[in-house]
Parts: sequence; C-alpha cells; structure tokens
Amino acid sequence: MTITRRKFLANGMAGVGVLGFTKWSSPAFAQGEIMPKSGPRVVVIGGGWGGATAAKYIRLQDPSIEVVMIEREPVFRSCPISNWVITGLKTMADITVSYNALKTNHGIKVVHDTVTEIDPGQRMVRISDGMIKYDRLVVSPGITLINDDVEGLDAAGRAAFPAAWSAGPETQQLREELVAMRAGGTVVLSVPFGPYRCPPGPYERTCLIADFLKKHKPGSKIIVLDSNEKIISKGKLFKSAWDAYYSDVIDYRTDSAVVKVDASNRTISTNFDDIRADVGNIIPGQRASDTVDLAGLRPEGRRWCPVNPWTYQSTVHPDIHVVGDSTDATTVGKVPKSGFIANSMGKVCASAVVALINGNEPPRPSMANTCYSLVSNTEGISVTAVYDWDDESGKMAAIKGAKGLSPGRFEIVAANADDWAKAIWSDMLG
Amino acid sequence: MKVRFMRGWLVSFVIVFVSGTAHADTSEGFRLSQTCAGCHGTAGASPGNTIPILGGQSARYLIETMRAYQIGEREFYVMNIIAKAFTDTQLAQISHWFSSQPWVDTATPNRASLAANGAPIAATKCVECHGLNGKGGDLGPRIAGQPVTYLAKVIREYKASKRTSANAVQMIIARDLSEGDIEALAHYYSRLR
Ligand SMILES: Cc1cc2nc3c(=O)[nH]c(=O)nc-3n(C[C@H](O)[C@H](O)[C@H](O)COP(=O)(O)OP(=O)(O)OC[C@H]3O[C@@H](n4cnc5c(N)ncnc54)[C@H](O)[C@@H]3O)c2cc1C
Ligand code: HEC
Repeated sequence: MTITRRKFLANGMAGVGVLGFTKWSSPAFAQGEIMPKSGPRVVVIGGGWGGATAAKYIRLQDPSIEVVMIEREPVFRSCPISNWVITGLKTMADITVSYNALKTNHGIKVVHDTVTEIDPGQRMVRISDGMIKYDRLVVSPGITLINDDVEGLDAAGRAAFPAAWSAGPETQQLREELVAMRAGGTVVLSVPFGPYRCPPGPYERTCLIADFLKKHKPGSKIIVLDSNEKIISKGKLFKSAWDAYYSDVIDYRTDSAVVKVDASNRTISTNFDDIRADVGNIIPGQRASDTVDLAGLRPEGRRWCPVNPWTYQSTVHPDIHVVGDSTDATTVGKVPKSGFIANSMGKVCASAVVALINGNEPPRPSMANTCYSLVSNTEGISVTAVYDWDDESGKMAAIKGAKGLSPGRFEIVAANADDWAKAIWSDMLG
Repeated sequence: MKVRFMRGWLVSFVIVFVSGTAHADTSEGFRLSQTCAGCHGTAGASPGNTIPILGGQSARYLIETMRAYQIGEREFYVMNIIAKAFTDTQLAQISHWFSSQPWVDTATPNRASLAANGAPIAATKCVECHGLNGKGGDLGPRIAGQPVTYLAKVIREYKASKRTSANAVQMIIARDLSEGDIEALAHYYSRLR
C-alpha cells in the first residue's frame, strides 16, 4: 500500500461516521464535553496489552501529543502467568500491576471509567462524566466470550463453570475450587474453536492442573474437551509432556465441543457424553470485545475487526486504530491472539499514529511473538516468530527461518517465561 | 529501569527512565529494536534474572553476539530463531541503537558477602578484558550490573566449553573456576556499579 493511499484513508473518510451515525449529528452530543482539547490528542480505550503499550510508545516518541487512556479496571491484571496462579505457583498480587507509572513517568492521563459510546464522525467518546474529543482513537478492548453457543451458560452456568479467560476473580475462584476438591475428583476443561485468545493457554492450564492433581489430589483426573481436531498450538511439545508426565491424569478428547452445561447437577455435555465435573472450566468461543461495536468496527457477521496492518487503522473508520485480540488475523497476517503480539501491534500503531499526526509517512511495521507455556511446575516450552511486511499479500508474514519452537521442554525456558512477563509488563506499564 | 516487587497487593515499577530515550526516533535501529523490548525491557533495560540488559552494552559485542546466534556458534533456543530475522546491516543498526541507550543496572538481588569473595578473583582473571569497573573494554562486554543468575549461567557455559564463538578463546579462564568462584564472581559483577 502506498503512502498516498494510506493518507487518503486517513484523511478522506472522516465524514463517513456522521452519515452512518445520525444520532451523533445532534449538537446536544457536544454539550457534555469534558477535558477540552488544546493540542493533538489520542484517546486509547483499554489499558491492556495493546492499549497500554500504544499509549506509552506514543508518548515516548512524541510528548507533544496528549494521551488519554480509558480503562475500566483500577489495576492491570495479567492473563499471562494467570494459569500459574490457578495452581499456586504465583499469587494474584504477583500478576497485578499499578497504572501509576504511566501517569508519573510518561504523563499519560489514565481515566478509570467505561467507554459507553463512540462517535467516529465528531471524534468523541463518552464516559460517565461526559464526552472526550480525540484526533485519533486507539481501541484495544480485548475479547467478549460467546456464551450463547453453549446451552445453559447463563449467569448460573458461568458461576458454576468459570472461564477464567480474563485474569481476575474467576482466576481466584478456579484456584479455590481446585484446592477444595476431593481427592479422586474430576476436573473438566473445555477448549473452544479457534481463533481464540492465547492458542496454547488451555493446554498450559491443563498441564499445570495435571501437575497439581498428581501432587495434591491423588486419583483425580482432568478431562479435556477440545472442540478442535488436535492440540492447536505447540502440539508436539505438549503431547510429549503429557505422555511423559500425565498419561494417568489427562484424558484428552478431540472434536468434543461442549454444547450444554447444567449448573444444578454440575453436568457438562458434548454431543457424545454427559460428564459430572467436580471442577469445571468452560472456555467459550470468542469474538472482538463488545466495545468495538460502539463504532461499528466489526462488520456484520464477522467476529473480529479488519485493519490495515501497516498502521492498524480500522478499514471501517481510518481515524480509529484497532490493536490486540480484537483484530482480524485474516487482515493482519498469521499472528496468534497473544499478549506479545498485542504489545507488538501497540508499538507499530504508536509509530503510525505519531507519523500521521505529524503528517509523516508511517514506518514499515516490524513485529514478533513468543508464547511461553509451562508444561510442569518447573519446565517450559516456547514458540517464536519474527514478522515483516509482505508486499504480495499486503499483510504481515513470518520471516523465513525466523520461526520455530523450543527444541524441547527445559527449566531455563520456564525461568525465562517468568522474566519475560516482568520485562513486558515493564515495557507496557513502567 | 528499576523494578521493585512489593509483597502484598501491587507490583509497582519505580522508574529511572530517561524519558528522552526515543523521541522522534525514526532510525532503523529503533524501529527494529522494539520487538526485543518484549523480553529485554524498554530500551533493553531488562528487569529480570535470566534475560540480560542490552541498553548501553558495547555495540561491537552485540553485533558479534547476534551473528553468533545467527550461525549457531552460540546456542540459545529463542535467540537463534530471532537473530535469523535480520540482515547484517540490520543487526548492526539494532546493536548501535541499544548501545546508544543508557545502561540501567539490574535491580535483582545480590549478596555483599559473596561479592567480596569475588573481588580478588576478578582482579586477576577478568579486568584485562572487562575493565577495572566491569564496564567493558575493547575485548569484553559490559558485565557490571547484569543480574547474578545470568552472569553465573554464562560463566558456567564457558567453563563447560559450550561456546564456540571467538570470545570463547579469552573465556578459557573460566575452565579453572570452581562453582564457588563462579557464584562469587557473579555476585561481585552484578553488584559493581
Ligand atoms: C490464561 C491465559 C494465558 C495467557 N498467556 C499468554 C502468554 O503466556 N503470552 C502471551 O503473549 N499471551 C498470553 N495470553 C493472551 C493475552 O492475555 C491476550 O492476547 C492479551 O491480553 C490481548 O491484549 P488486548 O490489549 O487485546 O486485550 P486486554 O489485555 O484484555 O485489554 C483490554 C482492556 O480493555 C478494557 N476495556 C474493554 N472495553 C472497555 C471499555 N468500553 N471501556 C474501558 N475499558 C475497556 C478491559 O478492561 C481490558 O483491561 C493469555 C491469555 C489467557 C487468558
Ligand atoms: C522471547 C524473548 C526474547 C526476545 C524477543 C529477544 N531476546 Fe535476546 N535474549 C533472550 C534471553 C532469554 C537471553 C539470554 C540467553 C542466555 O541465557 O544465554 C537473550 C540474550 C540476548 C543477547 C546476549 C546478551 C549478552 O549479554 O550476551 C543479545 C545480544 C540479545 N539477546 C539480543 C536481542 C535482540 C537484539 C533482540 C531483538 C531483535 C532480542 N534479543 C529479542 C530473550 C529474548
């Protein structure tokens, strides 16, 4: 894509939102404006992996741009390493990070509130106190679980079988249920169809729970109901660890999507079986967060938001950038929905935002991913790729040779995983 | 970047970040170094025990090390993959960029008593290449202020002849070190400012 085309997208479509969202044309909308704008301003929705990174890297590169980051949670809780909390290797405190450094070190205005409306035409977002104007908007709101796909996964169903697919109270709940479970009990964990957040995540969780059961709950087992036909990430490495350590603990079933749960008798059903679970962890299918629908960034019938991966501009509204799990990998290139990728996208987006605001050409994107997983309390595995722009497809592609797995499971990989988390949290939030 | 882990509720970052670091930096080095920060910390100020600090390291050492990773002279599961993503020119650009960043000493713990034992060994074995203050010289990289765990691991690898890169010739000195010497040296250099 040439610069002219990008510039056209950047500048030429600003009016579309007004036409598409007539309710915003009313002047009443502007009346509730708060934090009046004095210079160029970027508003970031979501202080997670993509959003916090974008906010910080915009300010690092151009402190003349005001950055307002809106995040509904008071503190950051990391999904990566949250599986470790479930089996007691870490605590919630270990994976909780303050937003203060973004304010004090980088002058980012962190607002703890929920964005309830986006007006792409007037370039404003609404929080409880009123409207905030922006020149460019960065949206990194994560995922929404599609609970409707599973019969019975209403409030009671979810309370009985928490997903724990965002780090928080459900993480802690799963931990407490495991600790309280009887020896000889059955844990059921379900894996949704891809694409979902963190492809290796359910399999890492399976390993750690199996390790925990072996040590603390003799005679127990974990049944893994995988919607997919095989382990969809680091398959060989996980399989080899399961065979070596957990053949008597893990009961892995493929093509076994959960179709129904019954909270009252604690039953989880596939098309083949009904299983009574002492502890149940249903991880439903996923799509871009509901927040993206406030600006229509997810076209009708699609689960994710299409973007231009050179700048992460939404193809629907070019003044709005989307990064992180909400993006559509069929438009980005073959990248997983990982925190590392969200961090990488946040940086590419930051450089593009700074360039566009200053009237410069956004630089060529460079991205990378490494997903670490523990396969036991002491050993880890990893998958890595470095990505460059591919002219032919107009997407990101793994660089030839620069892609691969750890050659096995090792203690050093587990130690690196712990340090990776500290490093990337400091890169996002420090 | 100093990272302090508070027991209790929050993990908070106490930063000595030079906020001029990357202003309006349109260099290739900055562009390509940003993915490294996902593991090595912003501008290479790694906060952990096992991932080395890159910011402020000698450019020559970084270039040689990345080449060694690329061709497998230095083996490490993840760096061998990452190094293959870049041309020689790009590796030089990335290395010079990190080298121009401020060095931020590790905030990971070390033990004064062990460090004291390391001083005399360092004086006879290490200063020639790494300089009197461990900040590196023509021959050796900066080692002062790296985390203990990482330093000890590297010395053990040289001792076991696991490295075949050019600098392994100098690091032949590691062969005579006892496990106690290695620990002492790692604490000494990690503590040295
Ligand atoms: C168990 C588990 C393990 C994982 N392990 C790894 C791993 O080892 N490595 C790895 O790279 N990735 C891992 N991941 C994936 C990683 O967590 C995600 O890819 C990452 O969180 C995506 O970042 P994001 O910015 O898209 O979304 P998030 O990090 O979820 O951030 C979105 C933020 O937006 C906020 N938000 C949303 N809507 C609004 C609104 N309307 N108003 C205000 N705020 C809003 C939310 O509160 C949230 O804080 C793991 C995930 C899980 C579940
Ligand atoms: C997925 C995590 C990860 C990423 C991403 C990563 N590194 Fe590393 N790197 C490591 C680890 C872990 C080590 C420690 C190796 C060891 O134990 O010997 C390391 C070691 C190094 C070293 C050796 C330093 C020394 O003092 O000897 C260099 C140089 C280096 N990395 C450069 C880079 C560069 C440049 C990039 C980006 C292009 C990068 N790394 C990206 C994890 C990573």
